[in-house]
Amino acid sequence: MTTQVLELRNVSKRFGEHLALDDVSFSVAAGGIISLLGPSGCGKTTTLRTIAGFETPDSGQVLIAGQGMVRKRPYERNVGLLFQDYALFPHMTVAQNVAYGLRYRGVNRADAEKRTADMLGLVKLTDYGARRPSQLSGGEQQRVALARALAIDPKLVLLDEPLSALDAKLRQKLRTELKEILTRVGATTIIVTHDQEEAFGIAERVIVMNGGRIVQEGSPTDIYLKPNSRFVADFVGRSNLLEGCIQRNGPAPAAFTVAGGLRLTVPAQGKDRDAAVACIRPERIVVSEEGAPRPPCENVLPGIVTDCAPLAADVHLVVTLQSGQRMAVVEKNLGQPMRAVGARVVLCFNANDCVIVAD
Amino acid sequence: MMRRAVDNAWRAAVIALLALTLAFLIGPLIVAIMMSFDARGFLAPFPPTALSLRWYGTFFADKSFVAGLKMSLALAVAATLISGAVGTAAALALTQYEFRGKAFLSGLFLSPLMIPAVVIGLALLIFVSRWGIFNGFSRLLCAHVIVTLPFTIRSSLAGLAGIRRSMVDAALSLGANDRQAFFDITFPLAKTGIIAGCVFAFAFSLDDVAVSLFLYDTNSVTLPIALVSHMRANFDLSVAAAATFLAFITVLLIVVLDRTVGLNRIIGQGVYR
Amino acid sequence: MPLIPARAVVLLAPGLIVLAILLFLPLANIAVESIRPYVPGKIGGARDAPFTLENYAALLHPVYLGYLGTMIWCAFAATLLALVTAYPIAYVIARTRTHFIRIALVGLLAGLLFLSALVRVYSLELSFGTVGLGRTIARLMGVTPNSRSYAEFLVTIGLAHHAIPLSALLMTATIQNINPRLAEAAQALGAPLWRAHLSTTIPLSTPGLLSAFLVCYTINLSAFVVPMVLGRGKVHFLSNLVYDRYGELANFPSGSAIAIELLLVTLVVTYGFGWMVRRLVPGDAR
Repeated sequence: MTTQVLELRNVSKRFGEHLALDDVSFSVAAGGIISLLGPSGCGKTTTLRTIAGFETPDSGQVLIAGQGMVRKRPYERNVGLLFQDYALFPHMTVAQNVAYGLRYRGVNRADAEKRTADMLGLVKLTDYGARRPSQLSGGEQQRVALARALAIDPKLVLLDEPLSALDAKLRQKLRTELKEILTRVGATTIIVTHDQEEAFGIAERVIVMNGGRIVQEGSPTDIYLKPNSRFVADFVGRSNLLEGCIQRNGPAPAAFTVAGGLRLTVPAQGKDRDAAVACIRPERIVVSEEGAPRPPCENVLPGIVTDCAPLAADVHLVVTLQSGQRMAVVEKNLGQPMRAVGARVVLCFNANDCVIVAD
Repeated sequence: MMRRAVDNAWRAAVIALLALTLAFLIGPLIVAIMMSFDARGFLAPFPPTALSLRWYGTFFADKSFVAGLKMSLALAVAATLISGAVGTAAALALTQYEFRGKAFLSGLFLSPLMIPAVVIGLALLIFVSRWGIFNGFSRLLCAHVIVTLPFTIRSSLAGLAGIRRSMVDAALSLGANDRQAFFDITFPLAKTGIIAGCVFAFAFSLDDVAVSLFLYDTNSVTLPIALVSHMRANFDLSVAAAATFLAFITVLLIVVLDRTVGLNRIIGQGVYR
Repeated sequence: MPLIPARAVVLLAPGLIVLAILLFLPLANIAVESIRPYVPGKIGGARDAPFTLENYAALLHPVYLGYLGTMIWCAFAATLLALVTAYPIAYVIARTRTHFIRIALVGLLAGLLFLSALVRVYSLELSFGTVGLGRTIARLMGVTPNSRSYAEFLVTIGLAHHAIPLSALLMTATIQNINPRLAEAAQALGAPLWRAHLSTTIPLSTPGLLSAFLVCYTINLSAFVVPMVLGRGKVHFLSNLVYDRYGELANFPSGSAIAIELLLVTLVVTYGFGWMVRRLVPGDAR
């Protein structure tokens, strides 16, 4: 039954007045890579520190490979950590840093050297053994920190915002490398981050947290396409969020009334006459000029372009509807002429381009 | 064009002020050093007409100076060892453990700095006389320990506090227990702060006049006191030789400080470098 | 949180014991001593006589108030002088890109700080006394080299000589944390260099300036060696008076009273000033 490398059961933690973790439960199978995603203060770092042993939960259990961990100190848990500031030891060389975890495990000198060399090869820093951390770039330091965490062959690898300190280009490059290394080693990994690209790019399963609780759990696509709450719809990706009221008539597509006289056709979700939020992703909306031919769709909304910004691969538009709402629309930038501000356009999307979420 | 001239004038004025200040700071010392090599046998107007080592001869031959030097060095070493150990222990308690009142205790340990040296000297004198401690060296040692303690504590605190918690946590997560993490990570990184504190303590002890004046006796005279007595009795150039010698020791201490700690690190880099 | 962990207590104990025995008890002692009457010929005040304030009352005599005034003024002038002249040095250290200049200046300042006070005082006496520039400067000031005014001048520059390296090092840290782009922005807007600094760098260094002022001023008030040697018997700081009471008369009660007075002056300056700074400087600038 216990192929779960990590299990958290009903973990709660309070810091003074502040409830940092509120009945958090989840588990990770061997070899899985999951991400804890959420804004600052959501409890993801506290969760990480609790798993690693730097915080003790007020209630609940932490099980690593089936063993209860709550009484155990960090050095008894066999968990590898990659800190946000890398925490490389400045007074030791790269090789000594990587080998540090082997010091207290009774590994003899020769084996330790071999393991260090293997790890450095894994992160593609083979000749860097004699250098000092201060001589390394940010990306190199991160790789040494990873090698150091993996060298002890931990049951669980915990990464705390691994890419946040790097610039955009480097982030992309290291994201793919990180995923490749973690998959190759088969490490069971938890990544804590506030950055969706980091979470979605590396993890196969994402756990979204807010206010100390888990709000949604699933694959990146599931979370993106089927957010279960306004918070997730808003936090993950961009959304148009329209508050309104559901009108249902059996299994047929429901109507959704929004302020200003706007009526949408939406999927049959929720109860009749409930207040809810309709979430429409900007890239699902098709824009056509007023009067120009357009594909058939269930929602046709006329409006005026109020902003048009070509941002590299996408064009971001803001269209103000007749009923007053401002809608964000994203089109691919294929070299088409930019839409003029003030142009009259029509927005089209279907019922199943919308998701209805509770507030 | 006018703007440029105004800027240049300003720069020139500031540089002139800078030069004048540096001249004021270093000038008198150069004068003293040069006069220490003066061949004339009496105090005559600067500059010296001929050079000689006679005043150094007088200095090292003078028993009171040499005895003073020995006493000062012995005191400095003893005081540095004691206040170094005590100060580092206190700094450890304040950085490695969590409890309330740390700010208060920290202020308490730094309080000798707020109290004028003369006040400490007089207070200690009355106190040790009341308690029957008559040994000159012991009395002086008490004074020097109290006076140097804030330096060792503050420096050790700075060194220890500067160690990021994440490094210790990293060691713990890799398998080191608390004691091992301390000796592998915390202590080596704190070393520079501790050493710097000891160097400050040593220099301060060597230099002390105010407190020592209250507590010395005829058998335990420190070098500064011997110099002061000599200056009052007979303002001649053997004091210049002594002064140059002391300045030389100071330079040595600075070099030690730079080699071990690095002067750059004491000032820090600031956010914008 | 636990009260205090046992291990922490063990580590703190030596320091606390040293402080208690060698500092706080003795201080309490002289506080008591200062209110005992003086018995000539006896070391220490009379033990069983009733407490008296005569030692403090004696300090209200104009001569002593004069000493207090001279001390406050000389220390103040020296500190001001030191801050003004140290600022350019601190600025150069903070902004220079040449590693050598930075190290050389910091080394020089550190060396001056470490240098024995006696060496500095002696050098100043040599250079500004009768065998040095004494006669010239005194004549420029319109006094004789042996006058009281010249002695005050010597004491002031003597205090400044110590305060300059200290405040330069203290202010370097402040200036390093001021964004150099601000002065550049002011210049780009048309301000001449002096105005640019006056509007940006200097106001932003105010917290550092005030802090350096406080530190140097309190050190100067407690000065002993400088007024003793450079004052040539004509300038007396409170610390010198304490020593005279002990050395010449063994009048411990009076000496204790003056010591307490000096302590109070120092504390008032430190905390009073600190309070004033908190009132005047907005919170986020500190």
